Amino acid sequence: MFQTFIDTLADLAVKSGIAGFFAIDGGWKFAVMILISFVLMYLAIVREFEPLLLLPIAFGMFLANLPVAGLSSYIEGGLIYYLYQGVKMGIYPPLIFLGIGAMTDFGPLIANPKSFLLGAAAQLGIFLTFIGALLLGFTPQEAGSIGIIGGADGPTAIFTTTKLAPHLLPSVAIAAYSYMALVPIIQPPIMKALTTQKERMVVMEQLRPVSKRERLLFPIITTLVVSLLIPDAAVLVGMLMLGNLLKESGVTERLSKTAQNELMNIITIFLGVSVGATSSADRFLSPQTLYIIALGLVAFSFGTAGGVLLGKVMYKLSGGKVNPLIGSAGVSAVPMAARVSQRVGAEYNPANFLLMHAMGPNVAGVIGSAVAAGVLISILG
Amino acid sequence: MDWNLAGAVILSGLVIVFLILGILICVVAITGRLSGTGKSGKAAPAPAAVKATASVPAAKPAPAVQAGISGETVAVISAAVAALMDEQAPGMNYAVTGIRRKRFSRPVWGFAGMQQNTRPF
Repeated sequence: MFQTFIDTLADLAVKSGIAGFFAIDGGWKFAVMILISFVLMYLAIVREFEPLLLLPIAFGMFLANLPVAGLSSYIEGGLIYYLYQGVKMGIYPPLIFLGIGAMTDFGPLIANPKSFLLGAAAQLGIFLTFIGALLLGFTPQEAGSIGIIGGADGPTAIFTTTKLAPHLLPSVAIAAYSYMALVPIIQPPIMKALTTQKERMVVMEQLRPVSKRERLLFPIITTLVVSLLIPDAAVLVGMLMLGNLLKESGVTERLSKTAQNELMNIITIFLGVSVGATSSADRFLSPQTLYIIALGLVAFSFGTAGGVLLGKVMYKLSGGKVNPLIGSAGVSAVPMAARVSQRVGAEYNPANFLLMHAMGPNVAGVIGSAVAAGVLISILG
Repeated sequence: MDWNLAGAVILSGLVIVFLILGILICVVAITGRLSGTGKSGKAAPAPAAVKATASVPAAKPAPAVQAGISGETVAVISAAVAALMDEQAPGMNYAVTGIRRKRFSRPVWGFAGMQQNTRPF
């Protein structure tokens, strides 16, 4: 009996996760990945960097790298494998867009449609980084997935990557969400370097009121225009606009609230955990991941610069009525990028209130990055 | 590296993004003008001072208020009516002509709670 007990303990020890660190080939990599997941958890919990997504992603990474547990998104049969099918089949990102649409006020964009141009200019980083990635030896499909990080839109980055280069999903998703979280740190130096103090102090005119009819027509017209011209972007833009129509119609309050809260939260948990669980040690720990993280920063910086530079052009053309700082909000990270424009503007003129003006390019950036994703998928997919 | 492909992706990507968002600018601007709230091409002429003065509507008579209803309650009810009218019929002329207590068998807050709870069904 005693011998059986000893044998059972020995058998458990051999099959345990602790033994896995030493017995499995490259077992130390699991320990490194677990440490990385702890760093991400720290950033999410203590520093509050995009915690709603970063925390599930970090915990998914933690689960996927527990040796022997078999909780990676790629190991068939487990819970996380089935949750991951929503990512793999492109279901979660459009549903997240539904929630974003239900939460977003497109009023500032409707009041000042020229903001669309700033949202377009901020997509510059996507295409410039595409070249950088090609130069580093990535395939065109991989380069497209890496470039889309510059759109600063997590669901769009995930959606594009699942279509073009699914094997890069963990690196692209983590880079995209990390940089979105770091918007307040990355953007201000670029904004200040590209603008003069006089430009930063421009006080913009108050936006006109937007009628309910305009708010109702906007989602329908936008879906029609984008979907007919770029069918690959239809699912993202369509769901974004459906969410917005639920909100603006005023007759589907329950659906709008569900899209904004319960549905959005459920999908966020599923998406975060399953994306995090794709980053198993064997797939994540490679020089390629470092390249992707570096290129993501380049994409993000060029996107910010593109928006600010077009803002400067609009400043000149409007005779000094447009504050170029709102251009940086064209990278879609909603509403963080708009808050950064407001904060930097207020540093130079505390009475200046740029937030609503920056929300226009900010939500235009969401549409712009979805269109850019559609273009990349249609050319490279 | 395939420079042709890279050039094609960048050129078509940027042109298409600007083109589509440019089309949206035009469509949104046209929708704004048709609904009468967008900026027109020409700035509207400033109304003459005399005309503006003449067009100011005469002050509406104060609403007939039932005894026992305080001025503060009248102000709150008027503000609520103004907010509702502004939301549901912007630009419509209206006046609060009277405020009186409603005879009602069910307590008003109880009725409001019941309405809120049963509205979805």
